[in-house]
Amino acid sequence: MQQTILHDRHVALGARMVPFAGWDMPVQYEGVLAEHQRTRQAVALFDTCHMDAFRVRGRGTLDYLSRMLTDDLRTLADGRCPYGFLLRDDGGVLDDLIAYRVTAEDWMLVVNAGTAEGDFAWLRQHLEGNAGVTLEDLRGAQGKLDVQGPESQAAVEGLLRQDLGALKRFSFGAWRYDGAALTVSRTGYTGENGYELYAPVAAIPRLWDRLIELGATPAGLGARDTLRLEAGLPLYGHELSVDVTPVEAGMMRYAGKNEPFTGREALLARMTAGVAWQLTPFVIAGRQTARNGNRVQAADGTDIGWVTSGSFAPSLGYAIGFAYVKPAHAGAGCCWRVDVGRRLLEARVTAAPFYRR
Amino acid sequence: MDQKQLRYTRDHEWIGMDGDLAVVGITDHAQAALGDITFIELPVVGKALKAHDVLGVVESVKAASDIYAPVAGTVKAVNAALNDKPELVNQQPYGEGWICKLADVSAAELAGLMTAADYEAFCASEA
Repeated sequence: MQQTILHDRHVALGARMVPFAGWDMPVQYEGVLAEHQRTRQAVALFDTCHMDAFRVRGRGTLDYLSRMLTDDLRTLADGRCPYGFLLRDDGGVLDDLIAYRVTAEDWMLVVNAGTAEGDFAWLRQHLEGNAGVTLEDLRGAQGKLDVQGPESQAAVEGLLRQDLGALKRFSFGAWRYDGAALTVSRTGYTGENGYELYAPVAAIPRLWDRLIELGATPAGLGARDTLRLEAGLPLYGHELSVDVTPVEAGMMRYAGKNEPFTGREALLARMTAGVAWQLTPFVIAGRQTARNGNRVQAADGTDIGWVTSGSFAPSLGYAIGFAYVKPAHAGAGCCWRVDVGRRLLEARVTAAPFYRR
Repeated sequence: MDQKQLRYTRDHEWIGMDGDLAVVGITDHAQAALGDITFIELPVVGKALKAHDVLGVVESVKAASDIYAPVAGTVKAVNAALNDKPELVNQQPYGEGWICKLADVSAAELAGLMTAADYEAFCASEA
């Protein structure tokens, strides 16, 4: 199993470590609920060094990435970093990612830990005919930290000694800290204001230490999951996989550009034919939760789908989740029963995000 | 409840007499292993249980775990406070976080369970 450069700090803080996508990661320090609250009320710090990033640049990069990714990259200004997908030819989602546009021909793609190797192979495979484009895996060279919460702007401003008021959401800039070059974007996975920081791996420990001095609380993967679920954000491997397209996931706003890209034909065909499954947010009127894989039933007991994610929502006080269900049962107010093993729980379709500031 | 006077099971439940009822809960070791508890399914009052029957379920953010009856008995009371504040089990596993009380327990069955010292050694050996 791999370890990030912060591994010893997590252990020294008494973190409970778990395997995640081949990495030994902190799932909690003080406790998932406490870390979740700190993120919603103050500022939390996440080690996200297990994620990966690719530098893609050279003549032809804009055309190449425009064909490989679902996002509209051509009309973006430099310094923007939109969210989008990498799709297979059949429209299946290989990954969800953020594409950082340094310039038209200089990009950084930030991808998930579990899918990074496959993403890189797929991108490299499709490089033929793009002789000017270089693709570089930043694994081992660059690390990442997430700083999230209503007090995150103050914390990162304290770190950089720079005003960040002009940095808009899904935008990024270049700064320095203690001799190291940083990229900082106003992005995140929690539904709060927040920042993602990229730096040379060797600089990550002192960035971590300084942010803690500035008041950020370490938070682990447990809180990362409850926060993103409350915010209605998908998790690759749960809501997104090669078995679904952005059409089923209800995320065509990130894949609707009117130009050719890998998977586009399949998406258009799916939209014409209609989907068999629709990603649908639900709530349970209680604390007991459904979990990934639980089957969903209509009121008459027929199987209508499955749960992709489910959890008690600390900021709400009840359980929430997502499920793929047959479209006829995906309408607002539809009632389901979820088979959690020993019981059937009553669930009701709702709208995401579940939690709003 | 005084931890030193309680008896313990290999599934990390504790049990101790309070008058003629036996109070049941889960141990500090169990609550720490579970993490933040978000839901407890309590048994129904009146239910008759054999030793090791499933008495209830404890859910944390990451997992659900069965609670077993340490000995045979009939459920006489449940801690309804846990419906709204399941975190009491984390905060006071031997006090306010008690789960239920059983009637008609056998003293002999109780005596067959681990003592506090046995349980401590058992936890150490499991680590």
